[in-house]
Amino acid sequence: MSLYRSAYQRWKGEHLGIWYRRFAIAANGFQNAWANKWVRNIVMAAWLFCLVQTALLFGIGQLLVKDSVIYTLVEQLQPQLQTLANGLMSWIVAHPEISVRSTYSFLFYFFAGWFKVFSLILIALIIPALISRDLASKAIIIYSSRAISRVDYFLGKFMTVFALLSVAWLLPVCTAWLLGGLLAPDWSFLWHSRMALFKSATYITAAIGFLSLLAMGVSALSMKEKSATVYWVVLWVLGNVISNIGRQTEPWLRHLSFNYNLEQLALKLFQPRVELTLLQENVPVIGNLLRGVRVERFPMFQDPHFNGAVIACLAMTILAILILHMKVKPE
Amino acid sequence: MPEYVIQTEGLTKRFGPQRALDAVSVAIPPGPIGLLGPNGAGKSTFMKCLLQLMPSTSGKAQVLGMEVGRVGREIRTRVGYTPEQDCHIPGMLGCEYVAYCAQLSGLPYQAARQRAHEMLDFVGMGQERYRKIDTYSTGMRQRLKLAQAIVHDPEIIFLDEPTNGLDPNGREQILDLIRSLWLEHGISVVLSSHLLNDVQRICDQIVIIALGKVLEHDTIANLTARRSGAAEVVVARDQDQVHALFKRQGWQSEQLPNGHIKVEHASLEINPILEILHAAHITPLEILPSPNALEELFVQALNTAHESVS
Repeated sequence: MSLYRSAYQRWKGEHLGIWYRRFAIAANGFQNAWANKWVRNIVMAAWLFCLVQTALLFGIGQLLVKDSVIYTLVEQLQPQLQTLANGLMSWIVAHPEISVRSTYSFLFYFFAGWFKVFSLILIALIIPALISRDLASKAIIIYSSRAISRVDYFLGKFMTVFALLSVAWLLPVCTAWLLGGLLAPDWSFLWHSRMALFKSATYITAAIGFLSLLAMGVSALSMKEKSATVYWVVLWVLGNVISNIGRQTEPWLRHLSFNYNLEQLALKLFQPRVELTLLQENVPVIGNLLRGVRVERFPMFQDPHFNGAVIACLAMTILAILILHMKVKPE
Repeated sequence: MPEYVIQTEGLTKRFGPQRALDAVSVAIPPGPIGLLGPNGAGKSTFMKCLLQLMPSTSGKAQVLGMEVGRVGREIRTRVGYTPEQDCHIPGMLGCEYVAYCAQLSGLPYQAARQRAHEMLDFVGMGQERYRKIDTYSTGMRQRLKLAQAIVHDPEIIFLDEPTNGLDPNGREQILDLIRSLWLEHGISVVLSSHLLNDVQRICDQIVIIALGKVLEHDTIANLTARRSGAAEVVVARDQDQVHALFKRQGWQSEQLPNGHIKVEHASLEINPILEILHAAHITPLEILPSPNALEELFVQALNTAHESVS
């Protein structure tokens, strides 16, 4: 116990506003999550992928520089590969706007899948401390007795997940775009790829927002911390299994998987099929080669079930909010 | 400060068919107030309804002149609360936890940290503040709860069984601290307890609650005065003679297990007893006027309530 006892003193300062309190909840949640070694490792892995993405964007840009290492390497390739590379080069030179946009879109779409996996793993790691722990320890009473409402508490927790996923997904992608553009031979790459960035940022923001709410809902389901992780993994894996079953049987079953729904949103935004058509119609050599691609064999080139995905995402969001409303109470 | 820190009118809380609060109407002026009642009487429910931790079924309530249910945040900015059960955030250090609670009440980061340490000093926590809360003893947790309740400098604090699990010394210290909050700083205290001694020690007023109803609400002085007319007389010998003297006056007396003689003499003063003993040349060792007046009143109120229900 303390050797001396200080006298109580009245507080004479100003109380800060509600957004400060919400950010305090978010900052505390982020700090707790960051204390987990595995969370830091996953975030680091995401940033490594950011470097890989940057390197690929850099490589594509270097195809336009006659004395670059990449150009020299391409010249030393086998004749067939050299033809492909030359086709891509001539396309970039002839139609820089379309080519840069399409290339970036393809890359962003491809990497979005990987970043999404990182995000889902991150959620599995942080989900016990999100709301379950507050319910188990009854800390929710302490929050409720403070000058914050339940909505403020939820907003704070939402910002925790959103911030963490942004660090592991949104920021790396934006960084890759910026570095790719800055390292390109011509800074017009930044301008030409603006739509690819916009699509990517829109998709990531929507996905992160949706996943954050979903994670909160799942975390509120159980007062046992470990159960929350189990519920999340089951929801993820089971959703994927049902989605695969749905492909063979009832198509609507596929929408029970949040992963599938996010994939459909990505297809709608990135439109890889449109980019493929552009390639087929505009690039002399590669276009001819790609005309033989059987689009029905690749899910990424099929029409997205956008409306179904949006409805399913909305339903899941409403369900998560309902769970939060019913489960997260001081008493 | 408004005239009444708490004002309720027909405040009712039902859990299914059971009434946890049954049309509670009280007006409590500032000061240390004791909510006294047996377990399950409705004390905690009353506090929780005032703090909006649970919605009331019907009725009106005001805290610090603000209507409960309309201005939740404003009320809770000016109110502190220590719940009965442990509800700490696991994994946090003691000082981090109190600072975080201060931030949740709107104190800026630096000020929150500084004030957290001041409050931990105030409640008598030393280096253990740098340990994780999970490792704290019950006594430390009680101190920590008090620190988080006052860290944002509230105008009124609600304390739900704050001395549970404390050793006698710790209990004395905590009660002294709570008492000083009102005496030295004008912070009103609502102390919910089933321990009469705790309430009697620090409170000026008492609200006795049982079966969800307010049975009594008055100052301790007034309540004690109601039970005047009883006293305990301690004599070294001649107990039988003392009994006989009291009987001759028509007073009821009985020997208590501790050897004291309890007498109901129907007077507000103890002078009549002294006069009789003096006339009989008996020197009492001690005369305790209405020593258990509050307890008796408490028991009587409970019995009345139970009888009215049955």
